Amino acid sequence: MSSQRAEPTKMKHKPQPWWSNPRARQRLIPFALIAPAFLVVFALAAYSFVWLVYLSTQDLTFGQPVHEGRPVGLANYIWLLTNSGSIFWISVRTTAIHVLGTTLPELLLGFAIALLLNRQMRGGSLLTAVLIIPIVLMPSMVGLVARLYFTYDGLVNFFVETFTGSRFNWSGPERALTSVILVDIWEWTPFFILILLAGLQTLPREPYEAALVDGASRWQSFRFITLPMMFPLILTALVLRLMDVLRIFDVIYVMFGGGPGSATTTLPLLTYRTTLVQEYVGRGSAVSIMLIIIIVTLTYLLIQLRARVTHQP
Amino acid sequence: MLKKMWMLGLMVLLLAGLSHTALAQDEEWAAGVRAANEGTELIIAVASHPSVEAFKPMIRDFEEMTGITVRLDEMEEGQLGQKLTLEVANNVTSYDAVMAAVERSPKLADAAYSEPLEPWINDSMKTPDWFDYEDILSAYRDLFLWEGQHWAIPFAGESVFLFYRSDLFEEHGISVPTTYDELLEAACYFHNEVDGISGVSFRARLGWEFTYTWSIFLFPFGGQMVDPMTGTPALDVPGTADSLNYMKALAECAPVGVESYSFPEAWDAFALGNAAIMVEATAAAPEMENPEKSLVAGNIGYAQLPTGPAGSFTGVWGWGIAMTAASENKDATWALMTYLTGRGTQDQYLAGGGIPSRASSLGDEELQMANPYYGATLDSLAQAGNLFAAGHSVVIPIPEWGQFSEIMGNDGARAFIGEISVEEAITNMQAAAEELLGSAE
Amino acid sequence: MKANLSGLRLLRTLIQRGWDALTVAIVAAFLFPYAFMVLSAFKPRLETFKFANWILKPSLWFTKLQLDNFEQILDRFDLNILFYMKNSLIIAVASTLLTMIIAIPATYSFARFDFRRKEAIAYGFLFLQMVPGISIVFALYFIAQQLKLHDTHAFLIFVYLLWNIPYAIWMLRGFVSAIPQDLEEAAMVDGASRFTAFRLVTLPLMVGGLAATSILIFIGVWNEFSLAFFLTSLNSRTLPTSIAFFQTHSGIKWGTMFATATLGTLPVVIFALIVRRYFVSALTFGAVKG
Repeated sequence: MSSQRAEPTKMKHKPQPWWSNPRARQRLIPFALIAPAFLVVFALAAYSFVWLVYLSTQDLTFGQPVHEGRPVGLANYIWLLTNSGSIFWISVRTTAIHVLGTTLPELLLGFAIALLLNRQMRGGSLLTAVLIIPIVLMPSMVGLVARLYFTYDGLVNFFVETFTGSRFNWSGPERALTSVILVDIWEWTPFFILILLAGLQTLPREPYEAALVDGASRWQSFRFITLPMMFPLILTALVLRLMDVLRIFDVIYVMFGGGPGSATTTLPLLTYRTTLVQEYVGRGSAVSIMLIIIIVTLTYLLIQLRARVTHQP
Repeated sequence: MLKKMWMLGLMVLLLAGLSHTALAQDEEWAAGVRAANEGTELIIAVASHPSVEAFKPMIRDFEEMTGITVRLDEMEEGQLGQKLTLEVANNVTSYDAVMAAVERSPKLADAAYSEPLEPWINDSMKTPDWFDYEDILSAYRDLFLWEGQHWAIPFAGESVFLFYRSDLFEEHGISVPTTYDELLEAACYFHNEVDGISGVSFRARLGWEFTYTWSIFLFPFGGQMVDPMTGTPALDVPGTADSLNYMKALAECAPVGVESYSFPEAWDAFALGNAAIMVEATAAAPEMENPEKSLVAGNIGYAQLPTGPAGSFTGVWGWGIAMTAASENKDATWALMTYLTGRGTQDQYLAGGGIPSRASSLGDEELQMANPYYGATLDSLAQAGNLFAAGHSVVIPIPEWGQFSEIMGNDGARAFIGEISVEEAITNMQAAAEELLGSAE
Repeated sequence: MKANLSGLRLLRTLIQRGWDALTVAIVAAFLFPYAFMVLSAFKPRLETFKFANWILKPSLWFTKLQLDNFEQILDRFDLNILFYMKNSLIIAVASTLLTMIIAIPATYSFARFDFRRKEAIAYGFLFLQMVPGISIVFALYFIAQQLKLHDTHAFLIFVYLLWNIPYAIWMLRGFVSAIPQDLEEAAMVDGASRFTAFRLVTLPLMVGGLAATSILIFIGVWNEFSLAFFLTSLNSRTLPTSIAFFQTHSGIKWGTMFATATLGTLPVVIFALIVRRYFVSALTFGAVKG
């Protein structure tokens, strides 16, 4: 390949197609390098997405051959959004609570612990290494273990009872979602800790020294120096986490399967239950489409917000 | 070689404890199967089930006897259902035989995924005498009857009965409940009066688990799934709401968290001594009597389900093995099916913890002595007969049953925890069921 | 005056130690559920369920350690967990390698060239990988059937590329950008082709980043559940989906489940600790340097 390119001059007298023009080729190189990645990712995503859109306009039972589907236009979407038997809006609400209930506590807790870890102390790097563990565990196993820990006689209630004297029904309709959220907080607070700690460690020292000279209190230097400088990073962490939380399936599936009632039926669970359990392929695909729209829109908005804050793309 | 065969035959004889007459045919049969099928590989999809645990050593014997290799693809039963539906949807078959729940059988048959078995059962060349199809209780055989043919050989029959802690009942002077009011009363007595004990354990997790338990309570209160005459959805009769309300009342005296219980949790609650009563599958009984897994083994009484305002009913479920229509190794598959489910190998099967389905084993006096739940199992079969006589069944034999069951399980579970009212749930269900099966008008 | 100062210093040291203790306690709390799980793998079944008993009697923690659960999951005729680990390993290694082969040129292009709509294309990759696996599993199943690739390692290896390639591009881009372009240009002035310059100059400098990215992709594939669950069966079932075996008619087999979880998570925990220096940038698609 390199030898060919080294001697293009040899054939100069012959009529040239445009692609052997070195400058045109030069312009094509970056695209040629991207092409395989683009083709694979785009082919898979586009094919699946077109399929999904098509299925969402069909009346089709899971188990029926796909060509037996009956086109129904937007009826599936209308059913989901308006029918009294549909739990779509309940699921949206559950998803919203799930997203807010995980990301915000994780952020606050993560920030606080990152500040703690940011002090000079012996063995600090060992502690941060330990925090990696929850993040890399197999979620399906985490879910199954959590199912045991959160039973009435389980580990969680053992500690709750030790400290409060009473036990809770962690798998009941009022608290099942909380259990799922607590598991997520355990798994993913370290994510915020590690990112924010990395950010804190790269902050410049000068502004703090200047503030100290001006007689600023600790709180003031945190509020007016640390926080603004960390803000873009916080947004980055939130975007990434949001993308993931909206897709969580395995932990909830293993712990509660969406129940009791519809207490833990977030949108990914609703997709699964509608398509593969209740066997309404069309409605399930419509849920999928709406979920994808929600994920992409929210992420896009947060990326835009981040760009506005940092004045860069 | 001959000597080796003889030894093998003898070993099988000792292991399986075959009757004398079966001996000669058994060896002959094994040799015949080996001659025709040696080297074949069979792939069987199975659910996680005590009977499958019992099959595993039997399969190893079968492999040695016949030279056929068998690979089991084992999964949780809900997942098995979804996997088979995916296969049906895409018109592919990766298995030679599948373990079919009665719930899924019509769907598999309707899609021509499974093979009708009459030609095989009636073929005396391929079916050894010790298989004895007629010995399987007809209540179980006919679970797999659809459009006039049988589509699977049942090996594990199940119904639901009462498990109760005989030691606690005696200590507190409570008699075994015979009506549903008494059941509620007894459950709540233990729940409220005895420390560290809850009243009654059952499964009520969102989905098919909820439907399973509900279908037990549904009919004694006069509820219905479909109209017995027309086959159209008839969930909106008053009895349906009554049964749901009864379940809600019973949940007040159930272990905390019962709304998330699948059968493992329900069984554990009873096995660990946390519940005084359990309304569960007869298939749980061997586990409950196993001292390695249960703290209450030996202290359990069994009784048929109580009587409700509309009568005394329970249901029958069952697991069978179905041959796939697309299998390329049907002779070998049939040999395996007869070996696993035949009368000749029943003793080994039962000793390994398999759930019985045959008259010869359930009616055997020695076995009845050794297994205190055999009697109650037969009683509950009679009770299940009542339901059949009334024109109902806990599983409607239609290909759409999976969806119907989820329709009931979804809204039923929501009403059970008070997320929506019982009336609202039944309205939703009836509408969804009519959309699925059509309405009476 | 002097005594006063040292008293103050003592107080300050005490407060510092107090914060240290709190930090250690918090981190220990994050470790505890995992540690408890690993310990539970060595207990018989009934004991695992009776927690209170278990914690209150620390003597039970180590005196009755037993390996039964591990023997059972490794038994070829029983749970045969090694088979599922082997599948997971094949799929994770192959998918990671393939991802790298496809993603490295693309990354190089993003980091070293300027072209129209570069950022738009880069974000395009990011958005495409946002699709939830569970949403398209039905479509993927259909493709698998059409291509006769159902229940093969190859299909999962291929499918995971949809999520892995964008991730690798975003991760690696940071590593490549951090290597000064001058070095490559100097090599090219000396007569090396672009490819040779990349191979001899840039590639060796990004080995650390490549290793970190590969390991993180490996972990992601190793842990993936929802796609593997529906797209595999007998021949290629992976470890995370083996949870199905533990929810049985004989109750959930907690002992064997704990043993499997222990065996299945130890490799990734070790891997993650090896690349912990890169871990933060790995978590953030390279948006934050660790």
